[in-house]
Amino acid sequence: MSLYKSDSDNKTKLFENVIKFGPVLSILGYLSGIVYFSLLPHESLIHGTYISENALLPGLVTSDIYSTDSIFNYYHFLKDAYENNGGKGYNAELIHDIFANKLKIESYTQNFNLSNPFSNSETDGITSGTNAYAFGRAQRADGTESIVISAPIYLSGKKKKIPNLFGISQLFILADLAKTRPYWAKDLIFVATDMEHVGIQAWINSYFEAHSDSIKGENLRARGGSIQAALNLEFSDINTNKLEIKLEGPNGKLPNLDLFNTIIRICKSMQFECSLESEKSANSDFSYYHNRPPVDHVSGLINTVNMMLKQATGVPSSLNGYFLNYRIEALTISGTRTSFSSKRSQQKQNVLKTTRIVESTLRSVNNLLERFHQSFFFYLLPSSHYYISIGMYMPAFGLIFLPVLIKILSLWFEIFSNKKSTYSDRNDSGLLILDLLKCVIIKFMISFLFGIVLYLGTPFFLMFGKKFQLSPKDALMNCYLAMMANILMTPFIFRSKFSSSGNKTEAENINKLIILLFLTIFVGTISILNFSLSFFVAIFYSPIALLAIQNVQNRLAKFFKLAMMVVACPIVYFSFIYLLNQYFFENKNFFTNPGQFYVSLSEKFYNFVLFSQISQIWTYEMINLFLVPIWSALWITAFN
Amino acid sequence: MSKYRSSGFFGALFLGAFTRLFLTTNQPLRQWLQNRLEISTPLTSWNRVLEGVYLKWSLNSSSYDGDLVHEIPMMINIYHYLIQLFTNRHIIYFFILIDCLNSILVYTISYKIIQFNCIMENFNKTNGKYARLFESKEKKYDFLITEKNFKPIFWSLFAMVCYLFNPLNLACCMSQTTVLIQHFVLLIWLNFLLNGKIFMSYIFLAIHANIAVYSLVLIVPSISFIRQKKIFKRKQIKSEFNLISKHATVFVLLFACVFMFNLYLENFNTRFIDCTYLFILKVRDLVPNMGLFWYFLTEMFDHFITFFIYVFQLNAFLYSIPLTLRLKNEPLVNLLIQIGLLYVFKSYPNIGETGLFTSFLPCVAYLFPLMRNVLVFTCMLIAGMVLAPIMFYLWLGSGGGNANFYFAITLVYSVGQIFLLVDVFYACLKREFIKLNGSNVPLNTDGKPANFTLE
Repeated sequence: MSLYKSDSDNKTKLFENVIKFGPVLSILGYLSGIVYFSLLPHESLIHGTYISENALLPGLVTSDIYSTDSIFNYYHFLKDAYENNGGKGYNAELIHDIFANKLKIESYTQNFNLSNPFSNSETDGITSGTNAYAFGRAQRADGTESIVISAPIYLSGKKKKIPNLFGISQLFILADLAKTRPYWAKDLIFVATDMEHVGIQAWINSYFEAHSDSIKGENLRARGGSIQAALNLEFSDINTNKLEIKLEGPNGKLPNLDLFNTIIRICKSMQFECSLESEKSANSDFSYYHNRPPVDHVSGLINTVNMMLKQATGVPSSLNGYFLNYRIEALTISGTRTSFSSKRSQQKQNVLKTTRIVESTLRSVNNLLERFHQSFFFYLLPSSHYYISIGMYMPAFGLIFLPVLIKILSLWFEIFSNKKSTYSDRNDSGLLILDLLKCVIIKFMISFLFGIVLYLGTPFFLMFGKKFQLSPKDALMNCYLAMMANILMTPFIFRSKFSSSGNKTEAENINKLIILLFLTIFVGTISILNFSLSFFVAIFYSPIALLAIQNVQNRLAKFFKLAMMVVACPIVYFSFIYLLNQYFFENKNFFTNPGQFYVSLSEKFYNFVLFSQISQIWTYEMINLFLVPIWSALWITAFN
Repeated sequence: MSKYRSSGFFGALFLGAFTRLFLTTNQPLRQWLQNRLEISTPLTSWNRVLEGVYLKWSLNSSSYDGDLVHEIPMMINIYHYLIQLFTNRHIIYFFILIDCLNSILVYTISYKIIQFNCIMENFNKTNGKYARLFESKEKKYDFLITEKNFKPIFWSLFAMVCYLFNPLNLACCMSQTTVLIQHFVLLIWLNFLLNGKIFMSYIFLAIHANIAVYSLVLIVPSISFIRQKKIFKRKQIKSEFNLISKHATVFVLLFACVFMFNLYLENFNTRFIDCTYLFILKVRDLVPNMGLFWYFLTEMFDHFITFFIYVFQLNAFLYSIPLTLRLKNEPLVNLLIQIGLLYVFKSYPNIGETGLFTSFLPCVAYLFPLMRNVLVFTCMLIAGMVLAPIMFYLWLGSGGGNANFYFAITLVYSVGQIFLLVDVFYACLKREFIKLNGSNVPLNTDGKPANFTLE
């Protein structure tokens, strides 16, 4: 022991232990993290959902909707309008007309236009649409709070747009209730939006007077009180016998779990089938004898992963997501049909139940005395009756990322505790800085330059594409891949520049340490905002980063390392996830047809980038600004 | 002036200025930073200054009508002339200028600090104070710093680079907070103090103490430094009490002068006292910031608040004298630690203040090998800085979190800073022990090697 050293013997012992048990602990941590995560939907670890906010009182009110006649009236009226004149009569004006003249409530329309951020000319890429919105003012309340019920006029279908006739009809029924019933404590705001994702954003942005670059909406002429909750209704067909709830908002935001639980409870009390979007369960027969269906581990895991995949993209699964940007808890209720029942009485029953479920949910929210604040904001749902809270899934994430943390610790000890470095003399501190400059700073500057080019480069990519007469989709994909190839080539170009003078282990170690710290900061930060994205990054990049910084002598091992690094290129990795997603969840087999996969991928990629620009979703930008540079730095390090 | 004649100095200065000028083009970033609570605290927000100037010169009323402005009248007057000179649109260039001047001051001050420490160790060595160090078995010849093994030019340049490219300082410069001007005053004080112009230094310390009341306590380490300098110039100190009381009186008089000047500027209207000094001491504005006050005081029952404010404020003033007594042989390390401590315990801290005192750390780089928790506090500070805006967003933006999220991060950040300061203190004490007693590990009474702990 020497007084010159900073550390006591205890710390040296710790260091030795970290060096000794580190690798074992890393592997153990990583594997146990994965095992623990896959055990999360198991019976012994899972928790059943419950209503945390007492004021909600789901399903206790008597419905005020007694017959389906008026629903069918509105439905057929809209249907006629849609089927005559090639669908031109079915628009926001018509809906505004019904609100204003038939129901006689306060109603307005809003024009908006979308300018395509990627189009060059000013006039070329502009499309416009019209929203209709109406206010059912609560008669006996002071109008300080409100609930939004929105429905898109058209739904996006596989081939063409499907009119949301039943969803819009329900708005009218509810508007009638809002006008005639005395018990409303909150204003009801009815919004029928055009152009799917664009219209709702135009409306919400105008409501809160927020500025958006590409979507310009007219100012709204009236407003309600502070919005407590929002429901978005999407019914492609009036024959529905099952409701699916969509939750995921932009950038991984989720609505309060209480709202979701309320709807599930109400469906249960109405004995109507209700589930998460594309939920898989072992016993597909809906049994209302059970208060809670039994836990099914495998399908629970599949549902969880499915939800995480949707959350990780940052793209909202439906229009409800945009409300979450403004702290409004929002859900999408979409109707589907699982079996065809020709019986008209059965169909009528289903229509009545569906409308009553929406009404009952509104009445529950109407009971609220304060904002949604209880229950969970961070959760994963393995099924509609069970949840995994943040306290359960975060340890899995921590275990998966443990190897990187251990490596950081051991690198740190190696650099600062082992006093056998070449720079132990203080005279050489200048040399160390010089080495750092050569070995670390230049590497990072180049890596981050790539990131910034990708971040700012999208319009330029498209401009190049136009010069070479490529379609925007191909141009974007090809330019992006070209940039990746550029990064892959960097070590060849700068090979001599990166090697340092003298003994370089110290500078190399510092380089590795900084890369791992960057990765930790990135993953840790994202884990708070969008857990799923950071989980998918961590599960792959945690072992890959350790592999990349490992010095290997064996040729074969080095080749393997470099091959894995190419796979670790963000676009390759995320394409791979997309491929698996398509294979398992959408039942599209691209393995046999790579050409088609490339076409589909570039289209998806273009849409994703465009969508990110319009809706301010940062997944793409974050990956470009941080993950690509980290990968690039890892690649350059792996090469030397 | 030969110390300025290095290409590194000009290169760093140019690059720093260029980075700042380049960042000014990013309007949304500036807007965002200007609204950040961590940077634009009530005491440093530029928008509040504009409000004060508008109230006084456009509406012909007092700046302190309304409860927004907390700058002292003197500074409000100066800002008024600056705005007239630069216009509000171009005032950012003035801030860039001040930031560059600050970095030059950091350079000269670091240079002086290192030089002073080297000369002091050499002086003590020749006086035979470190005899036991040279008798000890395990020898380390470059343990004592000299200008050869701890080059002032290199390390002060390093300090300057730390100041110029610290993201915290960049953020402060871009958001035009007046903390830069406070730094400027503080740095001039240090510069004058180190150059021996004591009266001038006291004037600037008095101004700074009027702006941010806490820096009153910095008089204690300054007197300690002056005393040390006297010893080292072989001047006889007749009476320590005389020395202390003389300097303290001069400072108090100067402080009173600055205060009277402010009072004169306000036409002897005493309203500003409540808006500046008492506003700082009573912690009336509980808008979240990176400090320790707001959360406790918002959570507390009203009738406890007075008591706890006393307790909290005592922290800022309490440590000055004990630290000075303990570190009387290392007056400059003492100065740095005390500046840091003030910034942790003050009521409306600004992240730029962390940026300032961390950029002086290269001056004491020789202490780094003796520090214990470098990894811990580095991680804490990084986590604090990165997560603060995110937790803030989760609390007030997306609504998923609550006040505890942000508070936890400010706690991590403050504790990280305290760890850093305590580690500097520990390393300094340990180094002093080795210098005086040699590097042999002393034995306890039971024959086992003793441990070196901070108690």
